[in-house]
Amino acid sequence: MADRLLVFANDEVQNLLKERFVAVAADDWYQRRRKDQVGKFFAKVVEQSPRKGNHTKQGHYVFTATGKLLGFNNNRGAEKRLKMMKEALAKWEEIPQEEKSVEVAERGKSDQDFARALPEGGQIVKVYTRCLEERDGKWVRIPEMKIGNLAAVDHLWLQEKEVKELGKLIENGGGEIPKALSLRIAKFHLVDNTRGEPRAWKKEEVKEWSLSVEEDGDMLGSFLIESADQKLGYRGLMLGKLKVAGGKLTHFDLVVAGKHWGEGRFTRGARPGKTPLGQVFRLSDGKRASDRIPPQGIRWAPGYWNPEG
Amino acid sequence: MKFIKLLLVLGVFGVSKADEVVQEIMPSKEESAWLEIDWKTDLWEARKEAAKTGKPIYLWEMDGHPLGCV
Repeated sequence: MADRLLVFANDEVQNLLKERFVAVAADDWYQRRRKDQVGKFFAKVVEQSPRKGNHTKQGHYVFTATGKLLGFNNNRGAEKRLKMMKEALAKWEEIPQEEKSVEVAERGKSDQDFARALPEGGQIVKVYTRCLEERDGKWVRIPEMKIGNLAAVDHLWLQEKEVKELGKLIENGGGEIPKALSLRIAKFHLVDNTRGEPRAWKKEEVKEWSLSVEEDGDMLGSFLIESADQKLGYRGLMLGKLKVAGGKLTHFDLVVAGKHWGEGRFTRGARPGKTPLGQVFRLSDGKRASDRIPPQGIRWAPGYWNPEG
Repeated sequence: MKFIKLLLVLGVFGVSKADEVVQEIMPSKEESAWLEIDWKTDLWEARKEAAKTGKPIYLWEMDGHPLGCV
C-alpha cells in the first residue's frame, strides 16, 4: 500500500509508466504457482532476478516481451524506483528493434488451480476499509497519510443466482440475506486489511450475525465476530440499500461501522484496544481492470463460494 | 423495530448522516492517484501489448494483489 502513495503517486513515475512502459500488476500468490504458459514466462523472468530461489517473488520487475530482465527493485521510495526504471530504459535502448517487437503466441490453457475469474453473469461490489478515530463525537479518518490510515480496497463477488435470490427476497417482502452470501461477507470481507493480508474468519468465530433487507431494499444488520481467545475481533452495525432490476444488481451500498481489535500474522501494528473501523460496500460496473481483480478471500475458491462448508 | 435498529446504527456512526461516514472511509483523490496509471492485470496481455507497442513491461508483483487489499 505504501507504494501507491510513495511511488505511484509521484508525477515522474506516473509519466514514465504511462509513456514508456506497459504497466501490469499481479498477485504473487497465484503467479508464482501457475504451471501454465503465464507461470512459465514469469518464472523465466524471475530466474534472472535476485528473487531466484526465493519463496516469494514480490518486487518490481522491468523486462522485455521476450522475457529478458532489464531491472528489479523491491525498495520503497520514488527515488530508488526511478533510478531502476531509468537504468532499465537505458538497457532497453540498446536492444535491437527486432527483439522489441516480437510475435507473442496465444497463452494456451490457463492453470485453473491458480486463476480466478468472475463467473458468467456475476457482479462486483467494491469494499473499502479504513481505520477511523473518534473526534468531536464523530468517526473521522486519521489525518496522517501512512500505512494503516489509508483506505484498503477489496472486492466482493456475487453469483448471478445469488443476485436473483436477493431480487426475489425483496419482491417477497424482505428478510435475512441468504446464508451463503451473508457468511461470505462476514468471513472474508468484514476484516481489517489496512495493514496487509488479514486471515479470513472461521465460521464458528461469527458469534452474532444479522443482515436483512426490507421490502424497500433497505439493509440493516449487526454482528460480533471474534476469535476463540478473544484477542481478535470486530463488532459493528450495518446500514445500506440494495436494488435489483431485471435479475441484476442496480444498486448496492452498505456502510459498516464498528470496533475492531487485534492483529494477525500479516497485519502487525494494530492500534491497542478496540478502535473504530469503517467499511463501504459499493456496486462496481467492473469496467476498470482494477475493479475486476479477484477477492482476497477467493484463493480457496470453494470456501469463498460456499462459506458454510 | 427497523427504526430502533436505524437509531442504533446512526448512534454507532456518531453522526446524523451515514453519508458523512462514507466520505471519511472512501479513498481521497491523493490516495487514488496511483490509479491514474493504466494498470493491466494480465501478464500475458501485457506481454502482447508490449510486443505490439515496442515498450518494456513494468510488473508490480506482491503477495495480495497490488491493486487490491494491500
